[in-house]
Amino acid sequence: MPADYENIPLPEDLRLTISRLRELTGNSSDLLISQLTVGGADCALLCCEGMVSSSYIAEEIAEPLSQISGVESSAALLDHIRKYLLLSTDSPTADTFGQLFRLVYSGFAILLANGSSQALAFGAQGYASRGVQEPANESNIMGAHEGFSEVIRTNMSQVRRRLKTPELCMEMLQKGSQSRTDLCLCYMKDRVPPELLSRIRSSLDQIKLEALLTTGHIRPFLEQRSFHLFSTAGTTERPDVLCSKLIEGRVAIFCDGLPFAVVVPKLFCESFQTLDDYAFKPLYAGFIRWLKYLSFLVAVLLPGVYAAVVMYHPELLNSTLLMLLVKAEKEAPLSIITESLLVLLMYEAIREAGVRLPKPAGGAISVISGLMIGDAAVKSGLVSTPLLTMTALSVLGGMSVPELDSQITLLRFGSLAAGGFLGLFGVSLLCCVILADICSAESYGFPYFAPFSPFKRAGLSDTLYRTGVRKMQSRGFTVEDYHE
Amino acid sequence: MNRLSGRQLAAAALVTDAFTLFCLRGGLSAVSAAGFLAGALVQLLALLPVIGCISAGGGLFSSGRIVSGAAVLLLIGWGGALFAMLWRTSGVVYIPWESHGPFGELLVGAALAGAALYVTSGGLRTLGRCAAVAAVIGGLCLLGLMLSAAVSSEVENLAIDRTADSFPREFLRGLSLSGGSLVISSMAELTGESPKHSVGRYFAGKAILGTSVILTSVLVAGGVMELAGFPVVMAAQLSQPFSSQRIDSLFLIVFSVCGVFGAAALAAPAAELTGRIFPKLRRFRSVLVLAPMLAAGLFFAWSDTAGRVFTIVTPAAVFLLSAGVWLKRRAGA
Repeated sequence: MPADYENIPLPEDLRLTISRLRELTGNSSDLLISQLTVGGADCALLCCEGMVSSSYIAEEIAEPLSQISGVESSAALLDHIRKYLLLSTDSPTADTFGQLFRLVYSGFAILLANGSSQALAFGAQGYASRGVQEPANESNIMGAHEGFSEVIRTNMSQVRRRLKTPELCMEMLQKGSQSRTDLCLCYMKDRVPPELLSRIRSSLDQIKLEALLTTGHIRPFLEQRSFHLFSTAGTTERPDVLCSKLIEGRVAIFCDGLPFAVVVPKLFCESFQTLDDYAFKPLYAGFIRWLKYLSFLVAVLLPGVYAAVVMYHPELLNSTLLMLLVKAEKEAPLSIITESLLVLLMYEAIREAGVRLPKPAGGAISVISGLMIGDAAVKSGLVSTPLLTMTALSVLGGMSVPELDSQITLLRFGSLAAGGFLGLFGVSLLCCVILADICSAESYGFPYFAPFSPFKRAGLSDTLYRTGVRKMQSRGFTVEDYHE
Repeated sequence: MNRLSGRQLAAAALVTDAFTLFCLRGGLSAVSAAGFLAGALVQLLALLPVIGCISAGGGLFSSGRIVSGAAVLLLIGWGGALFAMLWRTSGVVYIPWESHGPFGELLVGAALAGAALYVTSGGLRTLGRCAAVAAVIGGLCLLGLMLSAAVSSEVENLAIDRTADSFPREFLRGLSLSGGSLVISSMAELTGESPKHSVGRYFAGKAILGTSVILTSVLVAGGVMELAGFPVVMAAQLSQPFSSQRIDSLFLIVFSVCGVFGAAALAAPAAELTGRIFPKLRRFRSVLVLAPMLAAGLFFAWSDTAGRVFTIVTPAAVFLLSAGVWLKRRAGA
């Protein structure tokens, strides 16, 4: 719902305009209003403290304005500035209070002149922001080491720098009735399926939130079923990764204030791909990819399979291993399920503490957790060593596929329950449920589990294995090939 | 649109048949393979009117609620037969809790039905995609089991002449493996797929799967077939490639996966048809189908003969139903 002031036109009387501004903002202290005379006309220069560059305003706006002289009217003054002075490359105008607030709070300097109902704005953004840094969650070895930052324009420029083609389109839009957050729809217009683009636009139209502060505020609108475990809208914080996805015909959405781009559609196999795969030889890249698939299975199923084998199917183990496990579990005071649950919960608690605590405390957490799990729990006999090894392997496996971390965490507990309760039969049932969940997920008609099921032979060359780059350049792949 | 590819459709039907094969009871011999193939051929013939109806464009279920209702009953009945097979076999494949009496058996059935419910609620498309993956994984596991069976197989077992295995008896046994043909006949129309390719793929796959499983079982367990309650399970248990550990549990995984997707393959088209017959109950269609399946399973577990008769007459019922529709349509034209 638009605010009351949204469509109120700016009055011609400057004093009235200023008093309305003060009234509407509750005399907010960050709104700076400097009254001055330009070429004989009474004017006011508005800006938001901390959002603009003071030196830019002083040198590039105030200085040229002070040199204007002999202007007949305020309308003529604004006309003169528009025609003869290039105070900023970005110089929109505002006719209503709504437009004025949007501009001033986006870092524009606004010039109001007595007798004119129009305001001139000059782009003078100069807010403090984090610079371009190495992505924290998507590191790689051979590729670029820069990631997105919180400023949407910087992120857009990072993509533009890598794709210097007019086919790359960037559409700006605003969402959030209070936050008025800038969003940018980014796509290659010769690659993106038109239907996908129009459906994404209509999905974004459904956003009626007051503020967009995290990708979690956008992603649910781009996913078709909220109760799916796997997300069909991905994120990346790397411009190079995003460029590769755009070239494949995907659509990205930037949100101002977030160092991530949301990418649609997202496929399951993408969670196992990194840009480094293309930097190494195909054979090694293929090996790493298979290692990640295996790691995913180990991360999800190992605790459940361990419980199932030890409790119900010991015949699967050879006699030496069986004796080893029997001895270890015999000495543990708790049942295998309780033991596993305890260790897994302990790990999750430590991880959560490590994420939330200030960084200097991270080292302490590592020491305490190492002592707690690695030493004290085993020495006290509370937890058996084989079980601890299995849990550690499972956790390590999950770390190889960080994109699916949240899903792995939940499924690991599910697998433990299934294996502990129904043995391998239970684990098999859980696998069926997971498979059904993955297979039923779709993103705007793009099956999440493609190219495995539905089977697309052409897609295997970059999923099951990694074909050579020479072959890849003649592949002409876009995500449209997977559409059903 | 619930559009599936011919491969997915064939996979869904094959997974159902694979589960039925694993649950086969009584001895097997080379005659059983011949009987199985003859039974499959008759099932193919029974499907011809279905193919005719769908290829002509009219379909089978557009002719009215009675045909749809009858198909739902057949699918529910077969689902029941599948649950009865699960309960009979669960003891031999060592499913935990199975030995805890009726409660344990119900728990095992309910767990499998729960997983099938999740698959079914995703719709036919989900089922098709899952079944394709399950068929590939199951096929690989079966291949592993067969390779391990090579160690303990004896070729002379093929020549053993078992008087109990007469061709008519084995033909009826082959005919009773009709779950897959019921799945394909009901899903071919619902998916809008041309049935010719999927039916062709299905019967080719069925012939390969059935003969290889039966012959492997005979090769491995032929010598002790008189003692075999469940010959395929027994063959899997006897074929151990390692001296110090057993791989029976690998079979349990294939068994469970085929069980879930087999039940889902029967429930999904039934749920879709139920939703069409009772649009107001569309939201609960999967539960409305799986609950009676469990009940039918209890009945067939109690009356073994009823279950055997039902599975044998299913191809005939499919034939009569589709032929009736086809003749009616021709008379109308």
